[in-house]
Amino acid sequence: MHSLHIQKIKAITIFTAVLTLASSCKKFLTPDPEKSAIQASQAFSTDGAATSAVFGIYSTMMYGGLGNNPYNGSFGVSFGLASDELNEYNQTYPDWQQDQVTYASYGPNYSYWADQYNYIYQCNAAIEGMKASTGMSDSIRTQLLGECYFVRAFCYFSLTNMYGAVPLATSSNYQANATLGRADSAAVYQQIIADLQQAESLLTPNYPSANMVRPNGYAAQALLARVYLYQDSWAKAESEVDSVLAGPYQLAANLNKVFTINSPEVIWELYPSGQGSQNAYDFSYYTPASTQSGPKYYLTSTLVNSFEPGDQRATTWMTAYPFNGTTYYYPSKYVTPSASPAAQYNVVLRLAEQYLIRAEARAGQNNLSGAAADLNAIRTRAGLAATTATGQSALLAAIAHERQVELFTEWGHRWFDLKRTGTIDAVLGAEKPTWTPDASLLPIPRLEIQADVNLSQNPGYN
Amino acid sequence: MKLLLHGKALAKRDAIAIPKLLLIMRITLFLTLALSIHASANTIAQTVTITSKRLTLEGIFREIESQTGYSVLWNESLFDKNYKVDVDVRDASVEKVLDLCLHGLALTYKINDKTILIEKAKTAPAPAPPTRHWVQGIVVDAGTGRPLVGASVKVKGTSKGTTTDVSGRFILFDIDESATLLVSFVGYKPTEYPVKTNQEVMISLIEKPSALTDMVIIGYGTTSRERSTGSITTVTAETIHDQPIGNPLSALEGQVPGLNVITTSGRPGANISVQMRGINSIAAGTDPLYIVDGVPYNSTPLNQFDFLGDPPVGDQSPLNSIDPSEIESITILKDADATAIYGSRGANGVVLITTRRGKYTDGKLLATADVYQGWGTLAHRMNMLNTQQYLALRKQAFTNDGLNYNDPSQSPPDLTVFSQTQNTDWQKVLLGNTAHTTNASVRLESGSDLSKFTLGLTYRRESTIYPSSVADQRIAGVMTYDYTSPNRKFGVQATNNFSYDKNDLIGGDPAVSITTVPNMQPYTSTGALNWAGFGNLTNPLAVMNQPFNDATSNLISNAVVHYQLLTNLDLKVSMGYNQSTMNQVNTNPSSSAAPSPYYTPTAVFGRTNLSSWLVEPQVNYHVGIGQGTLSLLGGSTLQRRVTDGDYIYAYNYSSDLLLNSPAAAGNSFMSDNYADYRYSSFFGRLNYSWADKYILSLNGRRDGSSRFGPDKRWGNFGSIGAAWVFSKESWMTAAQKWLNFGKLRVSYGTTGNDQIGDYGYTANYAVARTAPFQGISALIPQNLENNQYSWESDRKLNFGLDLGFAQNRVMITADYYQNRTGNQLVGYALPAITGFTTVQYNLPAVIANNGLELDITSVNIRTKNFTWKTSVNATIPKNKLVKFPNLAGSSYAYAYRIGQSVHSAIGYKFLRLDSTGSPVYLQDHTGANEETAVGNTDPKVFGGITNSFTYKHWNLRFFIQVDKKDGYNYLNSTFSPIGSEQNFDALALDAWTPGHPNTNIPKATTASYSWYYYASSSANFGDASVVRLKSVYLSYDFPAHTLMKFGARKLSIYAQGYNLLTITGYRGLDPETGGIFTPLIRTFTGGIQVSF
Repeated sequence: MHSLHIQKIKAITIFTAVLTLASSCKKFLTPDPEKSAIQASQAFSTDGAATSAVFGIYSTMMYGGLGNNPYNGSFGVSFGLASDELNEYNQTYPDWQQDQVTYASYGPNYSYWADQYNYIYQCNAAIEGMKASTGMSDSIRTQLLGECYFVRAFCYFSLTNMYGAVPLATSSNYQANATLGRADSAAVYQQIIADLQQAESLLTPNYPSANMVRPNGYAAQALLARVYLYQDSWAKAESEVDSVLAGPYQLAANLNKVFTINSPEVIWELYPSGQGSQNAYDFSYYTPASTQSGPKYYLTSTLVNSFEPGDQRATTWMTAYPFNGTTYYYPSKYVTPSASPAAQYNVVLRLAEQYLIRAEARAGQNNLSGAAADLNAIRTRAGLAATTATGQSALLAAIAHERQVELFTEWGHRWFDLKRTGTIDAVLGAEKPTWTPDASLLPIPRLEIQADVNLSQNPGYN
Repeated sequence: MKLLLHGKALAKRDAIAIPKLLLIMRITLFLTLALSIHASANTIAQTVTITSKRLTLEGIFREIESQTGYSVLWNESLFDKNYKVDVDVRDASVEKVLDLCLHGLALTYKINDKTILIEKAKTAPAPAPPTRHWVQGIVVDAGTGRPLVGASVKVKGTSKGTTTDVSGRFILFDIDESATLLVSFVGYKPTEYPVKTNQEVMISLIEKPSALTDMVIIGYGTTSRERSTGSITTVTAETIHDQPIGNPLSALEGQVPGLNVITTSGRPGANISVQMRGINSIAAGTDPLYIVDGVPYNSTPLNQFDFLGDPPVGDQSPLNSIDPSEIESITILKDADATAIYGSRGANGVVLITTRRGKYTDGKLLATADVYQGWGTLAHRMNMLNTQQYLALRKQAFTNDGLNYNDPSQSPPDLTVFSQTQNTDWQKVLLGNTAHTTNASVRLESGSDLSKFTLGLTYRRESTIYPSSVADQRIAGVMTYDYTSPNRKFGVQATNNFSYDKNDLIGGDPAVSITTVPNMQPYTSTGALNWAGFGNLTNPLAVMNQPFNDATSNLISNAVVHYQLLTNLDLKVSMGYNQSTMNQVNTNPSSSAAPSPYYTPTAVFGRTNLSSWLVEPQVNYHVGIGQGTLSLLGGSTLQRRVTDGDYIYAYNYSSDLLLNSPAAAGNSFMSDNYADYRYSSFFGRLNYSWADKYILSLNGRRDGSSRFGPDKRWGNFGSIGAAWVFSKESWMTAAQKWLNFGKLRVSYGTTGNDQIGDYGYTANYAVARTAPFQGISALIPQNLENNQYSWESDRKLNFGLDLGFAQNRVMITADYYQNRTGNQLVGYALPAITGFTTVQYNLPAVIANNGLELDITSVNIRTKNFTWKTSVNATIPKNKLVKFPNLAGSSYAYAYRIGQSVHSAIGYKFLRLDSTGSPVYLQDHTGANEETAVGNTDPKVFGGITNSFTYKHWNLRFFIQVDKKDGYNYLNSTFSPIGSEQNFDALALDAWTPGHPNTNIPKATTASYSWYYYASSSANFGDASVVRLKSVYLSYDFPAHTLMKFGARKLSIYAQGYNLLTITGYRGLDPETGGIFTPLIRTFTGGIQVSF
């Protein structure tokens, strides 16, 4: 009996031990936090964390390779193919070159849509987080808020020019955003202008960090100038350019210096942060990989032939490449391999465009001499004589041509210009047998239409 | 067949006088009673076979006379007429039979011509050692006479016992004057054998064709096939060791009903996909739960990076760290009854891997060495176009497109620049090497009744068919230790598995480059890599110069301590620890790239460390109630697994020589990852068996997982299983002549799945895997927040039938299962305008898996010298997506169709070629090509047939794997059309031309625009069935007398063949690895195993 008693005590002891172990389970199940991550609620709790979170927006804007990310130079390739600037040697994106982009839920068109909305989400979440934050200093909060409004405006500007009317998400609430319908372009532009005006008021004239990788007040004005130009608001566009030109910028005297990190011309650029890159990706998109490789994307004969004789841009920003008996020309605005020491970031806004904006705005307001002066500023830098165009329409045509040879393969300028000036059908219809007018708006990816009951497709894409 | 025994000549017996030696000689003498044919040929050519019990000496003499023609003369006064002996000798010489029979009787014999004279021995039989009473002998298979290794020999009524050694021999000391031995061995009927002390005996065990009473491993315990209520399949060591494999999962291929095992690549160490009873989950993991000696084992590759693709190239299977030769068995738990005790994590089945433990208790050291060496080659070549055919096709393509192939500005270099006669067989260049496999293992074991140990060490090296010396190399060791206290109440089992694997296979899969244009030259005249003329193509050999090195070290350690507190109450604690570390380095030196002014060398470094521990206290209680036994199990689990790793991308190196140092890079950036997974549960099992006829099993479990939000962590799971052994019913008596065993099983229950990422229940900002932004780290939002999701649940229903016929020589197991998985853990589809495309969510989508499984084992022939066994298994699975709310709006819209398998191949239905040779597809109402399910890639039927033959010392086993399924052929994974600048197989010769319009192969073209439709059309989807002679194993066990010359206990030589013959109509390198990925290779090996 005695030993049985002891055994019972033993059993009870062990059973209690097991139960004690078990009772601590609730606490046990709480994992240690992830070391390289913080919860969203902490991301804007301090100036440092908030700065990192806003840097995350820029970082994702430059991460990823061709076709997977809109802003790392991909726009230049995709819209260069879609318009009349580029041909592809290896036919990876024949749909872009033939303007037959489909609503497929993969490929560049899908990334362009989804990625830009992801940047917008990050901006929205950051704006909400910083407004609610109690741990941030006012100065940093003001600066970062300005940057977020600016980036959001930039994204919406691209989106609406690519897709027309687009959903306008201005909060991070995914339940609400999941059923947004398309806001018409006017409403989108209204939001863009409001955001840029807010950014302008929040940002200072100085860049908050080295180089021009984070927007300042001038960047907001420069983008605003472009937005007004697209809306034919000539006076407003001119006024914004005036403000920018009052700033510390000047045209780089040497064409070789336009896209360098110390360029006096750059107003806003993106800092490369993809794998192994310290420079813009553009170099690797266009430059043959080795001395024995074929060309990748080469300039169309239309573009090559549109340079006037003596235009230094044709020799500086374009490289002749003989291959298998044919001479190809590829864009060489960017000459630094991505992994080489930082020399060229991805330039988004530069002063030359501002001159051309003001030229067009002045011409639009019949200030022809003013327009010619601005145009000639660009022509002079390219080693060309003053424009011979006279009369409003001839000047506007000269300015359009100047935009073609100055801004080629940059950010889809050519595509957007052809659209906003209503010349796209005539120009591309002559250039490409496969052109259809509906192609001027890209298709909304089908997955989006299926996932959002209120979203409709652009015409021509069923 | 004959007995395998030591065979020193008997005639020397008289010459040895030293008592100890005499004892040895006496043992030897006895053990020689049934020496092999080979040893018996020295005096009398004829041999004798007698297998009878309790024969008188007279009976034996008469038998000898009748079998040999000899006359035997004896005087009846010499011995007791009623003295009887058991004799079981085959093909033994007369001398040996007589030696056996007369032994211990003070008799001897003389042979003159054809006469045998029995007479009194001149010397008395050697006395037994005076102080110790002993019994010794040999345990053999009654049918074949083969010694049984590791059989249990116990003295009835005592705790004394031992196991037989490698020769099947045993010896017991200090036993009672007349004792009874209880002799048992897995797969044989246990026998009671009365013995007298100081006696040498031969004990024959009769094999059971199907071992109903075999131990079957289940969750937290064991049962028998007779009593189990669940659906369980065990793969034995024999099956595993038959095959020259590096990964134990390979041994399961085609062997287990319901288990679909697919090797993702023929690369050594490649990941292996295992699906139990179909895909249950849309987005959460579908891996079964792996348990190695009670410790849950990670099955997700630890790679920080790989080479993207489907499958990703370079991922290492974590199971590759486990040495197959140290595995005793792999048990697969399938239905709710079997898996519910693992509750939450059992939805995809459970794979229990059990390490070999020490068996020998004779105190001697047993040392075994096993070495094999093999050669592997590409098993199946595709019939690719040669240069002449290729160029003709290219020119046709240009002509079809209205282009001039002579115009250098329009035609790529293959037609204008490259040699028009050079013919490179890229298949031979890239996959034509001979792979070498070397596998060497050493194993030591010993032990007593109370404590046993084993120590094993294996080295393996497996190279590839690539033009490179890269290989997967592994050193693996195992140590086991078992202790039982003398009163048998306390016990410890400890196991340590450790391994180091170095896999330096190149990155990328060279096989995909067999479509390289054939008139390109791989090398220049100096042997360097040729780049001239490659244009934008890469020389596929460049990747050979990009070293890719994965080193994985792995430790699995566990200990089980148990104590019998009361006679019917056992306490047990299992503790496990697993540590795995993978280090990866991939360097891209300048020498691996085309000459370029821009190229700078880069390197990538990855490290992942996983450590996991587990504690599981358990209580077992059993009590007799009525005619049955009630067993109760209760326990709890605490498990934690921490994974952390980092990744460094380094670039701007000044020299190729420094590439292995991340610090030497001009620039680099680093990212890290961390995950803490915690798991806890309480479980219980009730098992009641009434007269071994009606069996009921209840499992219950409450589980918590840290992968869910704080309020959603716990889930309850349970099952009920019942079995009815109807053959034991009295009304079955008449049928028992032919139906020896019959059991019906049914089980129903729920299990769960938490195989999703950690921390998903809160919105997180993580450090970007990019260079810092101006020196400051960037934080990127990872996910949208939803803390309301919880366990994915799987309801399993299983009906089983077990039948045994012909004295259980034929055993049939059939199972029908029905699994329905709901509450699916998916990324719920959101439009990308929300910033993300998914949010983790429990979607009420339902996947159903039904299937029929059949397993038949049969002993077809069993005679003295020859045995033939066959086992067949087959599975007919069916998978269906039953429900998926808003499928069309989800990111799964392309992949799935309601009512179809989740393995549906979505593509376009090819109708015909139009008059221009372009394909026409089924169109939807808008006139667009309609996306439709052109079929599915689920296996229709899969299984295998193993035949096993034993003839005397020879063993032959071969396994044929059968897999009937459909799939896309290799054209689905090419990106350019027939006629583009890449090579195709000979079917391209059948392409449409105006003069050859009656074909289904579209015209050659250089325009890739619409190739996508054709590539994924029904024209490229079809039969991908395969019948494979998967493995052949042939061995010869040397007879005992030969072994004596070497002093060895066992010696076998063997040959293995693996993937010897593949019969398939598949267009591609291999239907299993798919398309033109590195296929399974054909391997021949030869080996030798010796024990001392």
